[in-house]
Amino acid sequence: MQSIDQKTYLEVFEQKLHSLRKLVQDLRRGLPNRTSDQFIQGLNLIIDAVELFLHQRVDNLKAALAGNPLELAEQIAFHSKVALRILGALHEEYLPLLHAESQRNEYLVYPSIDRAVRLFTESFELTLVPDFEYNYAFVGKENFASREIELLEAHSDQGTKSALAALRGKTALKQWITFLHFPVADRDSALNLCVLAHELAHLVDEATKIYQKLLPIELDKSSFDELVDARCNTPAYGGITASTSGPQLTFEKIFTKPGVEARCYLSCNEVLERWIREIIADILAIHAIGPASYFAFNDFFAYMGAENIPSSSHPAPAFRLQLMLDELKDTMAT
Amino acid sequence: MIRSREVVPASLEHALIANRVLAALASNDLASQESQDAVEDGLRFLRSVLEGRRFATSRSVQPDSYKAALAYGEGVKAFELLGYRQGQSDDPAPYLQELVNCAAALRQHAGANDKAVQDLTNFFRTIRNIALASTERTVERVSW
Repeated sequence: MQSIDQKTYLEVFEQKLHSLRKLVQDLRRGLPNRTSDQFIQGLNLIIDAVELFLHQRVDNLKAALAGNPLELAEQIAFHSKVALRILGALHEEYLPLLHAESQRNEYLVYPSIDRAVRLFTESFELTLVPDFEYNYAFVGKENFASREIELLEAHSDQGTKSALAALRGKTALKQWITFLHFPVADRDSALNLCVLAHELAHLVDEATKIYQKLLPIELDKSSFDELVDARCNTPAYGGITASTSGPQLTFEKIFTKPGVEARCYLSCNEVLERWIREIIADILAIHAIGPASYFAFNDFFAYMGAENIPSSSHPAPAFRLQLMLDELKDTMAT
Repeated sequence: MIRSREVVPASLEHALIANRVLAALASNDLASQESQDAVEDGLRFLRSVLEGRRFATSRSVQPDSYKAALAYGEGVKAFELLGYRQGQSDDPAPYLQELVNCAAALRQHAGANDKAVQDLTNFFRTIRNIALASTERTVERVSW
């Protein structure tokens, strides 16, 4: 007999699936004709694939684990959670792209951007997303949908694998699905919109793998060790002590030094990767449109009231501007 | 700003690998193609954990080092949670190497002792739980 847990998981999945399909449909209706067409096809393809993946897996598991109800319940719960997480990611991170697009006013800049992208690839869909947040951003996916479905295939039984492969083969999408966000406040400023050259440069970096050509890089030993030591000696959250009168618990005592080191390395790796990508985009933008990029960034940092401090995603603004200026000088000199 | 959005993040993939290894170990049929594929993927994951350790100790950032470091981070977490360090060294390398040896033996149909198989099962069960609960690399909200 099917346990309550299995039933609940599957019901929650069906509800999520239904609401997601409905949302995509509604958002599509609000968009101008043919906008983000490929992206929406990709979304629907992934949703169909997740449904197929879960249904086929559950059917096969029921047959294979008929004599082991506990394991069957655990497996159904696991696969439902995986499917729900994928649908959740689509809902939270991808649907807002469709929502924002309905605020369109891109006809002034779109043709120039379209022409620039075609220098690197013909197989792309580009959507400009005016944003009420004062920010510029690039979102780019290569082989959208087929990559995600291939991943599900890799972790499926033979029957599910074949069905997923057949589904994937039904639709051929463009190689790149990209979104460029820009602030609504800048929509009428030709100078300010020059920041888009930087965002576009992220696509060039992704497509030509410039970032990878700069690796390997070794993290500085003394500052890395300093970071690890500081983390190791950080008091545990809430000032927890080993006993009421015992010594203060630290991260090193709760975890291990290799554990703290692993976490620090992961963070440094991520920061380094992001910073390098931002610097590459800054430099490419300078080479593409020259001083306009430098002045646009000056305005951008001023308007957004950016503090001159580095973040986990970007080096400090003054450092970036100096780098752009140096690059500009070199460009002018040659 | 570049926003990374993964529909199937690496941690979820690790959870799927771990689940397949657990299913293979529980099936009592390690010779089947499905089980062999699962053990092979599990072995690849374990090697990636060790590779992540090499990257972390050498502080070297390379094209695939983020994925390997993520696997290593999960591997170390499993090591910490399973309590193998009590009375032993904090270094997870010998423990991880034993897991690799066990998985490699199973892959080559050489067999492994019960304790080693139990350790491998515990490791992948923990990885499955950690990876499924993980929320790594969320969308950046504030930056410029």
